[in-house]
Amino acid sequence: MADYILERNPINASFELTVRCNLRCKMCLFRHDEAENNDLKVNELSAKQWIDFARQAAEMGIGGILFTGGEPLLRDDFPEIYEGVYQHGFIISLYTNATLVTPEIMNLFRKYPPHKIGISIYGATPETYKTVCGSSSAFQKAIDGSRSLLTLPSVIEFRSTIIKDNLHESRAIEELVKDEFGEKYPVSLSRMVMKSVRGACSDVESCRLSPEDNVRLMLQKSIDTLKNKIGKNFDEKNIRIHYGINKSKTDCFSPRLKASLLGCGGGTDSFAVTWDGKLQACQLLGAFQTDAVKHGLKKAWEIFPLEIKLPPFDSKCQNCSLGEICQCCFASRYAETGSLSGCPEYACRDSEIIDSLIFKESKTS
Amino acid sequence: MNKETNQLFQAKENYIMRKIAGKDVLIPIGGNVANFNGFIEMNPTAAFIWNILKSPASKYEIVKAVSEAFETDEGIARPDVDEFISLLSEHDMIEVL
Ligand code: SF4
Ligand code: SF4
Ligand code: SF4
Repeated sequence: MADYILERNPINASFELTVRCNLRCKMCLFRHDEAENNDLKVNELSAKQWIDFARQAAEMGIGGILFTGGEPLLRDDFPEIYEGVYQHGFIISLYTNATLVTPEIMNLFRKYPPHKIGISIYGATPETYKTVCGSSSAFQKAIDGSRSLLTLPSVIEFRSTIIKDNLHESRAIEELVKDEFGEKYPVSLSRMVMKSVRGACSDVESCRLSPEDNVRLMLQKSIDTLKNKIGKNFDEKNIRIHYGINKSKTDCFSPRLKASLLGCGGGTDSFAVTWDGKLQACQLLGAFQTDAVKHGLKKAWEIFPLEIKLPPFDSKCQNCSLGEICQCCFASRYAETGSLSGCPEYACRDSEIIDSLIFKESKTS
Repeated sequence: MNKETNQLFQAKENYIMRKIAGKDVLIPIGGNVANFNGFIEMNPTAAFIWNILKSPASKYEIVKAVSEAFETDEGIARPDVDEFISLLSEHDMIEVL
């Protein structure tokens, strides 16, 4: 029996203000082609609608709101939306590429600092920004913008996504962040680059790392972190590979079974609202939606589970023993294969590679 | 009248109190967002006191209100109020008028 009965209290919501962006990253999950910009702009929710959603979200007992996109700061009315949402009292997070941090934005943030800011950095040189994001000047703008954002009392996190075009700078990006902004800012990397969703235009397959290179990068990153902590004299041979499966003592006593809608928090304790006002389990999974404009946010949340219809998995997945390692979720299955039950080759290969690296002894312990 | 009854306390404006997932919490806004990692969960007494502190109030008034609302002796309410008020001043969350 499940240890928890499904409560469905929404704690966090993502507000996807736009799927437009001033950059054109090759691996972007959400950005639409510029040719669509005029149409998109017309259909984006208005500032008034976002602020009203915030009012409803506060009534629903939601604690955190994430502003995301595309690039949220690209909207001319961002200050109006931001201030209006902020006034309702949330733990506010913002994801930004930091290239549009104007004095006006800084005045706004000084008055109402976000609690957390996630800044994306995609290269350590203008040249790499040109190949990855389509703009070399964006590099300096991102550095200057980050420097301004760091003057705020907000918690700042740097994030990056590594693809073929910036793989050679994966370490340089971390060095850059340390040199420019200080030792205390690590760079977190996207674990895996998925195919884009809901009509976004990027061609992820041509630019993402091979599963082998991706796993090597993730492994190198965690080895580097460990070595940094222990010191240069440490011999890498003494490192054991296990896979984030929590085997700590305390974990033995914590509940293992939990009922949810999709096997994660999406739709159970969090949701996303898309640029055009649809409520989804998360920003990635567009297969199930309810109309938050038509029904209001609360009703859209309440009736959301009725939209969910999950098919049985592909037979390979049904008989698979790598479940604990596998990174798949319904969003990645859907994005990668076009079907909620599909077996996504890329993620599957990732699991196989990791399985081959894990000490069998630790896997069975 | 002793000093304590004269001294008035008032909550600073940089906090919003509301319910998150059914619990009363204080959310820091403005320049103090970094003081707390997230929001501050309030028990019913704390939430009650915070509401009183929206306008200036003396410790004596607070103790009286708490003991009435929660039907306890003032002697029992007083240490709780003392503790909460010092916690609030420690974190610069109230003004002393
Ligand atoms: S990844 Fe971020 S910065 Fe790049 S195009 Fe997409 S939204 Fe813009
Ligand atoms: S991306 Fe996958 S795991 Fe994350 S919330 Fe969406 S469906 Fe759940
Ligand atoms: S995607 Fe591959 S690793 Fe994941 S469950 Fe299916 S068969 Fe197993």
